[in-house]
Amino acid sequence: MWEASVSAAQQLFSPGPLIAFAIITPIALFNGVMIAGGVPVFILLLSFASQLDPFIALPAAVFYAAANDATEPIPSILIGVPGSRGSQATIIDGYPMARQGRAGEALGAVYLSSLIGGLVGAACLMAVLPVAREILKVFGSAEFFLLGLLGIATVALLSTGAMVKGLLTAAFGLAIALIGFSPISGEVRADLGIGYLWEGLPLVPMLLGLFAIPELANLVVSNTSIATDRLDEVLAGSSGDVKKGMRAALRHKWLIVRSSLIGAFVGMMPGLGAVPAHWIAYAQARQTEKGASETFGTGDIRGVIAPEASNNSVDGGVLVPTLFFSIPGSPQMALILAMLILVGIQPGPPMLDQHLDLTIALVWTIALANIIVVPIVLRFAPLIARVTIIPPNVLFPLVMAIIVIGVFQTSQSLGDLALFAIAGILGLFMKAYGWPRPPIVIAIVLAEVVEKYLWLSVNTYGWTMFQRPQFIAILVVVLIAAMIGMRVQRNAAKIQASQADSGSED
Amino acid sequence: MTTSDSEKTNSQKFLSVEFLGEVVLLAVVGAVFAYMLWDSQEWGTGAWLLPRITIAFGIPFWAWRIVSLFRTRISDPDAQIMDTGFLEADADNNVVAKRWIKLVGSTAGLLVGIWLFGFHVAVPGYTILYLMVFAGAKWYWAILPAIFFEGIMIFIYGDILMAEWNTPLVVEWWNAFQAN
Repeated sequence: MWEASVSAAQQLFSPGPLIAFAIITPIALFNGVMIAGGVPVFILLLSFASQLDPFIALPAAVFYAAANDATEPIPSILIGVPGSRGSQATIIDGYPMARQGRAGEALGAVYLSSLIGGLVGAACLMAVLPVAREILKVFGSAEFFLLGLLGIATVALLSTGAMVKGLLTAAFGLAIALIGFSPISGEVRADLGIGYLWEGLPLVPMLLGLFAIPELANLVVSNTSIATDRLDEVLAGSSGDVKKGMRAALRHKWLIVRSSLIGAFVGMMPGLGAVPAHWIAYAQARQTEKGASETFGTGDIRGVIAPEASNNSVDGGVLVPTLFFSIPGSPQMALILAMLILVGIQPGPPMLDQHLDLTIALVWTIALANIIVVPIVLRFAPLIARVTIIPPNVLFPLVMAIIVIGVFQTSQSLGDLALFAIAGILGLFMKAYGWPRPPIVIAIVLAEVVEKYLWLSVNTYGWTMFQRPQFIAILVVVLIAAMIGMRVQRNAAKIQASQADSGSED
Repeated sequence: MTTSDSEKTNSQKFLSVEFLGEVVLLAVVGAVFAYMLWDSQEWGTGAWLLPRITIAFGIPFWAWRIVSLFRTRISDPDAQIMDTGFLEADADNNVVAKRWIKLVGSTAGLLVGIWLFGFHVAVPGYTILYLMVFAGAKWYWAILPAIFFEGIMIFIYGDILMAEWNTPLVVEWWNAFQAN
C-alpha cells in the first residue's frame, strides 16, 4: 500500500496530470455554476479519454467532478438558483444570508466546510481500500456477473419515483448495448444490415445525444436567464467577511465532521449520490443543532455548512461502489466507469491489485482538487457567478460546436453524428416523459462485462452458481443497500418537499 | 362526471402530447425487443443467452407501463411536455414553438452542413450565423469563436492528435465531376 501511495503521488505530480488539472480547473469552475452545464462537458471528456494515458484521463475526470462540485454553492448563495441538484439545500439559508449582505460570510463557511468534507471523503475512500480488497478476493465469475447486473438494476431501482420506467430503461439499454459482434461467439447481432452497427453502439455519441441534447434544448427552449441587476446587488457583499465565515465553520467543526461522514456513507450506497446526501445532512443539522428549528431557513450559517460538507464528502464515498464493485454511486460515476472501460481498465479487483496506484491517485486527486480549487473559488467567486448571466443563445452554439467536434472524433465516422442525433431525439423524449437515462448509460458500459461473466459462470458453475454463498451474500447485501437507498431517497424527498412547502408559506 | 365529460376526457387523453409521446417511446422499446428476439433465432447459444434474458426481464415492465399508461388519466393537460421547458417559461406557446424550430433547424443545419461542406466550413459558419441571427451579436464578436473552433480543429485535433476529418460531399461530387 505504501509503495502504491508513493507511486501514485509520483505519477500524479508529473507534468501530464498537472497540465490536465490546469486546463480543466477553469472549465470545471465555470461549468459548475451553469444550470445543467456540468454533465455535457463531463461526457465530452470521454471523447478524449481513449487518446490519453489512464493516469491523466481518470484523475482529470475525478478532478473535474470535485472542482465542479466546489462551484455549485456559488449560484445557490449569490443568486438563489442551484448550480446543480446537489446544492438545493444550500439555498435555504445561503440565499437569505446573501440578501442580508452576508454573502462573503456564507461563502467562507461553505468553502471551509467543503474543503474538510472533501478531505474526509478521500480519507473514507482510503480507509475502505483494505476491506474491499479482502472482499473481492473471494469473488468468482458468477459474483462479478451478478455485480454487473445489479449495478444496472440498482440504478434503475433508485430512479426517483420511476422504478418501473427505470427497470424498463435498464432492459432497453442492455438490449441496445448487445447490438453488434457477440464477444462470446463473434456473431453479428441485430445490425439491421448496417455495417456501422457491427462494432456495437459507440458510447460517446450515445451519451452526448442522450444527455447533452436534452440539457441544451432545455436551455434554449426555456430561455433561462438571470437578472443582472439582482446579481450586481448581491455581488457587492460577496467579498467581505470571508474569514468570519471560516471562523464560524471552525466553531461548528463537529457538525462538519458529522455531515461529511453522512455524505461519505450515503455516497457508498449504490445509485444515490449527492442529492439525498446533502438533504439528509441538512435535516440532521436541523434536528440536532441547538435552536436550529427556529433559525434554519432565515440565514443560519449552520444551514449552509452541513449540506456543503456532505456534498463534497460524497465524492470519496461514491468511488467505492464504482471502482471496486462496478456499481456506480451516481450518474456522474457511471461516466467515470465508462471512462475506466474506455481507457482499457476493468473495474473491480484490478483496481485494488495491478492498478492500486491509480486508485490511490484518485484519492489524492479528490484531496488535491479541494485544496487547489477552494482558494481559487473564494478569490474569484463574483467573476465565476457572472457566467450565469451569459444568454442561452450565446452559450448554445458554442457548446453544440464543441460537442459535434467531440462526437465525430470518437471514431471519425459520420455514422457517429447520425447516432448522436438519434440518441438526442431519444434523450429528449426520455427526459420529457420522465424516463431515467442513467440506467441506459450503465447498461451500455457494463454489457460486455456482464455477458462475458455470464457465459463463464454458466460454463463453470451451471445452476450451482445460485447456491454459492458469495453469490447469495452479494444479492442480500445489495438488496438491503438498495432498500436502504430507496428509504434514504424517500426521506430526502420528504425533507425537500417540506422545505419547499415552508418556503412557499414564507 | 357525465358520460360526455368522460368521453371528452378520454379523447383528450388519447390525443394529448403526454400520451402520444410515451406511446412512441414504448413502441421504440417494443420494436427493439421484438427485432432482437426475431433475429436471435439464427444465433448460437453464446450470442442469444443474455439478449433473451434481457428481453424476458424487460417485457413485463414494458407491458406494465402500457397498461398503466392506458389506465391513468392525464394529470394536467396544460403541462404536457414536462421538463423540457415547454410551457414552463414565461413565453406563450408560439414563442416556445419558435424556439423549438430554431433548436431543431439549427442543429439539423449544422449536421447537414458537416456532411455537405465538412467541419472546417460548417462549424465556423454555424457559429457565426447562429450568433448573428439568434443572439444578435455583431459580426466581429461572432467571428471570434469561429476562429477559436477553427484553431482547435487545425492545431489541437489536426497537428497534435493527428485527427482526420470527413471528405465533404461537395468535394466528392466535384472530384467525380472532374473525373468524368
